[in-house]
Amino acid sequence: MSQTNLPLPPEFESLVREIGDPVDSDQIDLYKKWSEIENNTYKIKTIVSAWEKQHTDERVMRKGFARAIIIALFIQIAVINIAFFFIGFSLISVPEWVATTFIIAVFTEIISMTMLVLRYLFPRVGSEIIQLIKEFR
Amino acid sequence: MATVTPLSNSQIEEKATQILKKHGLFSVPVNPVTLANKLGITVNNAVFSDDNLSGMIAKRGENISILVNQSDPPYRKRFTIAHELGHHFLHLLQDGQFVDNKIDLFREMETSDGQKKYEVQANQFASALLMPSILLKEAFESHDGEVEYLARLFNVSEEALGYRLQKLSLA
Repeated sequence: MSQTNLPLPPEFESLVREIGDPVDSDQIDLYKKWSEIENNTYKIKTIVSAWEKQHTDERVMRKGFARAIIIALFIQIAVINIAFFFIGFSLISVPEWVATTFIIAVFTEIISMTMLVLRYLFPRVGSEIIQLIKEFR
Repeated sequence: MATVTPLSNSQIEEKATQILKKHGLFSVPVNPVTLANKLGITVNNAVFSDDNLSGMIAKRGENISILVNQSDPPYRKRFTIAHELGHHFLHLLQDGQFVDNKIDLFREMETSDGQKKYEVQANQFASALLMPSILLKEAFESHDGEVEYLARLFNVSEEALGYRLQKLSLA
């Protein structure tokens, strides 16, 4: 703070301890600050709501895929079990290598599908949204 | 110091509107610092010996300066500057000074005390300057009387806006 050359009457001297910087428009313009905050908030709100919508849609889509894959897996499990018993009770006859290959192939497929579901349909949540919010702050 | 001119509320309103129009500041939000600077009045922050003091204005010939309490929030500073401008336009016809404490800025009742009358008039002027009735009525109608938004738009506290709306019979 600096003492400025203001026309202070003598009776004011005891009332004023220090005279500071001039008051500029920005110091008292809260409307401008409000508008800036509102604009920034609006951007963040838009990003978050777009992110939320995108994730909701993706979740619905993944849920659909997951359900379809699980149904397919159950059907395959049922088929392999039925085939296993049919072969066991000699209701159908297939060469041994065909039966072995078939059973191993189906179990491999079940394990692969389960891995696929876990790996791609439920990926780990990233921090992209946090990064975006930081950029627009 | 001149004697208190018996100005009516509507005359004070009219005077504030005329001043804003004359200086091309008849739009919201009104910036009292810009008006003061256009008039050649310096406005400075200051540390007062009594923290209850909000502002003061001193006129010595062509030199006119306003001091505001630097610890006051922006809304208060705006009102204080507008209040001091009220003293400038209504009461400081010759050299003189006014010292205003926080109570003076809330004074709105008519009184027989000369000094207090000055403060009542300065407050009426400050309200009219920061919230011109025409602009406030327009904004009030176009924004369905949303006090929070209007306070932001006019850059005043919700309390000050509430008083003003009551005065204009809008609330």
